[in-house]
Order: sequence, then structure tokens, then C-alpha cells
Amino acid sequence: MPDQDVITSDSFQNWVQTKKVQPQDLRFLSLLTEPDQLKKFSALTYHFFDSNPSFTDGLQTIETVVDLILLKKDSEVYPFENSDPNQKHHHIQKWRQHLAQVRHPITAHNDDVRKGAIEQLKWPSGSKIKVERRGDRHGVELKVFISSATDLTKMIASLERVKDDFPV
Amino acid sequence: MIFPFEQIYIDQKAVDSEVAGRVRALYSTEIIKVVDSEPFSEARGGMNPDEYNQSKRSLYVTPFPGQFFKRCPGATQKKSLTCCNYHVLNLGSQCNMNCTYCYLQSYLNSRVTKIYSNIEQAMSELENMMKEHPHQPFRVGTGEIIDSLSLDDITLYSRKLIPLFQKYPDWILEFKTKSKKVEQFVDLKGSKNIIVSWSVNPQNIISSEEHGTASLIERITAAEKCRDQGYRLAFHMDPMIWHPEWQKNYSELIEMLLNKFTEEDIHVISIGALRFQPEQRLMMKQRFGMQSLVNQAEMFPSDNGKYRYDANIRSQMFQFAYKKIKELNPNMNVFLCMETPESWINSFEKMPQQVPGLRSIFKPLPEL
Repeated sequence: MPDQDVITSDSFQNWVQTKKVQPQDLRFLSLLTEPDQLKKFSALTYHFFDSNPSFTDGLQTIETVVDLILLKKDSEVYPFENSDPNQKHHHIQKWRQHLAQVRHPITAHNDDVRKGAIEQLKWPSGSKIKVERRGDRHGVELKVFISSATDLTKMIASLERVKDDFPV
Repeated sequence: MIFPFEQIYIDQKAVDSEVAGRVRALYSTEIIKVVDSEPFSEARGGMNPDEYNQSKRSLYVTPFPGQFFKRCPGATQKKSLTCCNYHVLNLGSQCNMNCTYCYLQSYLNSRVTKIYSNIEQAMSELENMMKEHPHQPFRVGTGEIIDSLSLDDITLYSRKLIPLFQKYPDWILEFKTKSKKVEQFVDLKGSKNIIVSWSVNPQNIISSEEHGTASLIERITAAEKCRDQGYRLAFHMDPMIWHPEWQKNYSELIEMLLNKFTEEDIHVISIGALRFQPEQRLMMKQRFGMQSLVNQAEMFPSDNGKYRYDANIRSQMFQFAYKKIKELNPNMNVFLCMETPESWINSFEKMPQQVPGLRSIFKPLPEL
């Protein structure tokens, strides 16, 4: 059974040591049974592990990359790039989002369409929206500032109008 | 055909039981061994795929030491799921069929399929409850951690349970299966409170995801035999599995069912979408590979921890199935299995307690 030792890239080995990753945490790697699959894994993730992702980001990425290799979708993945070390976290999240889009293309497409529709809605002035996926739900986080009962009444009326056009 | 177990162990404490006698009559003595304790019980923790596969081929007949009668696991998640008051009577554990999505893959840790030999104790436990609440509509299913009927031709437990429930007509017994095995009890006259139910899926899903189960036609033929003997039926279109032709295939499935059966025949049709525990992801991939639609599926962690399709895709699937069923038979009772209140509202625009035909199913019952 392949384990972390067969992933020979220094960056991966360093990450495993730094984050105190245990063999059972890497169990999804056991699905890569062909040497070619392991090579692909190392090639795709080399720079990612070099950027020292968090324990959770690393493990979730391993599972997704393994899935993509097994689904033969790895050719659709662009390599991780960390052009600006100060933006490391941003690059990690952006690449993970890219992996998720390749792994979940239908949901990603639906999310994009829905995001466009939600952003087009006439949200109350002064409010801030953030459209995102949280687990099995795609929705919008709305931030508003209310200073009086009148504000609140206006806000409710505005949201009532938004409700009618909210995408299903 | 009796399931071809490769090895059978009979617990010394079960040697004189009726079911042990049946096992000895049905299988070669060469594969039967009497033992003092559970085989492989020294093995700890989860199983690997080989051990899990082997556990389906080894049978252990033993008395169950605990309480037989329990609430469905959905009832323990009342905060996140809408509970339908299901109770379970576990007469064994493990299943001799092989569904890719089966939750037993992360639930069981015993290296053998178990059949409990002390059915009399289970029935006495049950009858005490029945005497205490004779007119409460308790729904009791035997198919939670073992298929209700796929090994019933060995145990013949259906033949004991049916007459017991017929003494308490407000109590409902449900046999839930993916097999075609009904011959062992179908000579007994049925009644409205004995429900024989099938999990159903389009044949392409059965072929790719429900290995070793009866075909759709075989399940429907078995259901017809039960209906003709006076049993009520239920169909669980669960788990619905998204695939490119899902609308066409589920539409044909619903047409096939509703062309054969009326609302008089069918107690309820339940609908559910693919869901699984995070712990079973690895085992599913190891055992079935990525050609399985379940392993290819676009799944996300939900509030109660299970992986599910996107909530909007689920609603779309539920609405589609619901609309199609109601279009063909507006009187058919339909409900969502193990789903959140949000899914009920998004899909059907109401909670089950607001649907006249479902009110009695979802009405809270006394705690036992």
C-alpha cells in the first residue's frame, strides 16, 4: 500500500513532518496504486506543499487531487503557483477553489449562475453581500447596519423586494 | 436460491435454536462450526475491504444480548432531520448484497454476518410494548442493519412476526428489502398493517450501484405477489442518484410503479437523495472504484455531517419526483426520508405534519 514515503517530493515530506501528519491521515493516498498516478500526484502538488498549507487544507487537497487523478481529470488542473509569498493564503484558497471546480463541475457551474443572479438583485443600500458555498448550501451572507426602528422597517421592505427575485 | 455462505459459525448458546436447526438443514455440515464466542472478535477497529467482503460470506448464528426494539437513527437527529417515528427491530446485522452507498461500510465492525437466534425474546419484548400501547400507530421496520427479507428464507422470521402484528392492527410492520424473496411467507394472508417495501431505483442504477440485488422487474413482480395476497406495499425511491439521464430514468421508474399499483396498494412512497457518512468515503472508493456514480458524485458536507448533493440539486430532484408521482396519482402519499425541514419546505412548500395523508406518520409518539 502506498503511503507518504512513496511521495518523494521534499515539499510533501517536509509538510508531513511540520504538520505532524500521521499515516492514517493520508489514507486516501492508498487509492493511488500505479506509479504513474503517484508521479502525477507529486507533480501537481509539489509547489502547493512547498507553500506549507494548513493541516486541514493539505488533507482536503490530497483527497481532491487523488479523486481527480482517479477520475482522469488531472489534465484539467493547472499547477499551483505562489508568485507572491505574502499572498500565500490567497493563492492556496484560489487553487483549492480551482480544484473544487474541476471536481464538482456541475455544482460549480450552477453556483456561478446563481452568484450572478444574486449579485444582480437590488440589495438594500449600505448593505454588503458575500455569495458563497457553505457545505451543501450555496447562499449569500448579508451585512447591514441598523441604527433605528425606521432603518429596520426600510431594510425589511427592501429585503421583501429582493425575496421575490431571489433565484431558486 | 439460499445465499451461499462460505463458513457458518453457530454459537454454543444458539445450538438448540430453531434457526440453528434450519441452518444445519440447509447447508453442508462441512462449513458449519460450533463456537464459544464470536469469530474474529479479537480483531479491533474498522475493517479493510477484504475483511468487509469476507464478513458478508461468513454467518454467525448467536443470541442478541441487548434490547431488540429501538428508534430509527433519524430520531436522534431531530434538530436537523424531520423524524417519521420509525422504530427498528434488528434481527441480525450485515447484508449479503453489495450497494456502493451502503452505510454499513462505516457502521459495522464485526467480521461476520449475524443472525440472532433469540427471536422469541424479540417478540416478547415487542409484545410487551404492544400491550402497553395497543392503539398507537407505531411503525416497526426490520431492515435497518440487515435486509428484512434477503436471508428470511433461512430464518423464516417473517412467518412469526406477521401473525404477531396481525393481533395489533394499529401497529405497522414493515419489511424493507432489495431482494425478491417473498415466497417464504407469501402463502400467509396479508393485512393492511403488514407492509412489504422495496427500495427502488432505475435499472441502470441497480446495475451500477446495487450489486447482488434483485432487478427492478424482479422487485416489482415480488411486490405484485404480496399485493395479491393482501399485503400493503411501500416503495423507497432512495437513494436517488444524480446522473445525466436522471429525469428520464426516474420518470420511467415512477410510471412503471404507478401503472402497476394504486394508492390502495401503496401505503407510501418515500424519496431520498444519496447521502453517506464521511467515514465511508475511503471504503467505497476502495471497493467500487471511480466508475461508481456514487464515488463520482458531487457531494458536500451537510449540517449533520453527512455528505449530500447540493441542497438545490436535491430540491430539484425531490420536486421532480414528487410532481411526477402526483401527476400520475394525486392521492399517493409521498414523503422525504432523512431530510431537513429546509428540504421539505423547498421541495414541497410544507412540512409533513401539514399533509393530511402523512400527519399520522409524523405525529409524535410516546417515548418508550
